[in-house]
Amino acid sequence: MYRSFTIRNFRCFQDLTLRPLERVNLIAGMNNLGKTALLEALFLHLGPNNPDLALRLDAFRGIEHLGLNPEEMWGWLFSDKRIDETIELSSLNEANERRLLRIRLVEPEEGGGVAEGRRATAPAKAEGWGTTAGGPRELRLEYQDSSGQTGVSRALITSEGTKVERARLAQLPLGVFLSPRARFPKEDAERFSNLERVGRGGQVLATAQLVEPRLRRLAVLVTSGVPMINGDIGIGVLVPVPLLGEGMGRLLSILLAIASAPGGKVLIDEIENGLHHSVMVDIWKAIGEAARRSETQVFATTHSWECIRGAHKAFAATGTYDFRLHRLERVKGQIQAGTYDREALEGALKAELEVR
Amino acid sequence: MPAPRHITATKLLVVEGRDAEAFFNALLRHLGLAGVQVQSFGGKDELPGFLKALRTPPSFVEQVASLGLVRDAETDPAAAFQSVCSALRNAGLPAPQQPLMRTGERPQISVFILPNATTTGKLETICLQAVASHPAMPCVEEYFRCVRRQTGRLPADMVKAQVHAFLASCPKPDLLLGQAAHAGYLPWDSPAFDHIKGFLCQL
Repeated sequence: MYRSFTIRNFRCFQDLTLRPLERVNLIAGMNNLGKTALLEALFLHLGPNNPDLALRLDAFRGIEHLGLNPEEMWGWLFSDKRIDETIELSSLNEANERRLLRIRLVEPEEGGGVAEGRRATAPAKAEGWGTTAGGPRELRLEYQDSSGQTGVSRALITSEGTKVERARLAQLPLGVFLSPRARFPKEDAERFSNLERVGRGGQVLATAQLVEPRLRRLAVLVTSGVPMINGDIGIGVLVPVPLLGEGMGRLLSILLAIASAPGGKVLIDEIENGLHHSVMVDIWKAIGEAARRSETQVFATTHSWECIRGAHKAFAATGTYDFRLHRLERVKGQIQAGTYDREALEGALKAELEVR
Repeated sequence: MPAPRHITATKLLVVEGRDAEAFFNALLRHLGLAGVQVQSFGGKDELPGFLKALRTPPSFVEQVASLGLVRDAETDPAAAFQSVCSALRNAGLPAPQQPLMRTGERPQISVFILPNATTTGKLETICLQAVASHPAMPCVEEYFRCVRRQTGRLPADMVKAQVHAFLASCPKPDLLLGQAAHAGYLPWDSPAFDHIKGFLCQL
């Protein structure tokens, strides 16, 4: 489990450290302070040999790259688009072991191409090539950890498209990013099937009933070749989960991601989306239990007072308050984080001080 | 729920309870001291958590230049002061060596223990002293003599009871102390308020 996480020169962050981290971490702050960017930094750090993730993040934000302009594709990863700087994402775990990912936009090395011990993906679309003259065109990911493991991965723009090389790295924790805008029903169906296979589907059902009390059963059905979770609400026919409501689909995605990432991290953007405030305490209890059971670390963002208060109540009711609220603020032009422990959050909520 | 509060002023006065918050806002207005934000920390047991919450945002040091804390002495002014100091240290803030003494640079921190930093009592104690010569006070005293004669007992907290009885004698009889302060029922020119006025002026 990460105990601290540091971001340098990434998106809106110049130098930010979150410390201490807990099993469940809730990120709050006003608009445009980088709550989503913080999750993105964690996501990249969890996939240090996967240059594709940078583009996937843009897709989550609704940005499509039709051309192959490296500065547009990757430049916005860098703070203030200063592409000559190095992004550094580093974590420390409970044993004080460090994992460091450096990301740079560079000129390809001489003879750059597919190196030994790495694999290349098929060239991607080449549309737009030729509109970019000069400039760095390789996104390089340099990883190292306390065990001495290192690896360089890269995405390289060539006249044939994008070539990706991925270093072989062992013992990487699994990371799942849940965006409020993107849904992946097939992934949810697969995760639910995996739980059902080992008799654990009931754990998810009990929590889903908080949002839909009529729910009796969940099952994966294949419709037109597409697997999807359906729910039995007693109307004589199973209903696809997306049709049961936004909250139901959201909650299932969260619980299934946590259960499917043992020892890993689940990153949830705008966790309260679609969930009524009256069920937040019970939902947080369920998230806490699921995270402890699978030893998953959770990072979520929110704008909601009820969500923060619900989390505090839920974790205060457990023996171990394995929860922290991290609030982002801009101080002297830089974004910093204040971390509330149980006593501080209790004090803030009682005095109705702003913590969102 | 009411809108959560932001700390927006550079001078912050934290006091015990919402009624005290209203009282001090009225007194600050009377003194013409603009730019002081008053915030309740709730009850005395909630002060440690409140101060930790206040100190947690990275903007705290940038925002707050002067922090004043006011709480009641109750039966032991020294213990009340030590309790405030302990809460300050728990929040990672410096604690002054004695009441009214300032410590720290940003924020500067000072503590006032009501009624006058050295004796037992509370906010209501100075208010009662301030209205001691009010024409209604003999009636208040006679009322409690009558209560004792008729029932054989008196309220556990006579200071609070006398303040409430005095407030009940005012044109609007159902105001809390802070509301009465805003309504102009307290004689701000009374020497009973001199100590606390001096503290507020030094924030």
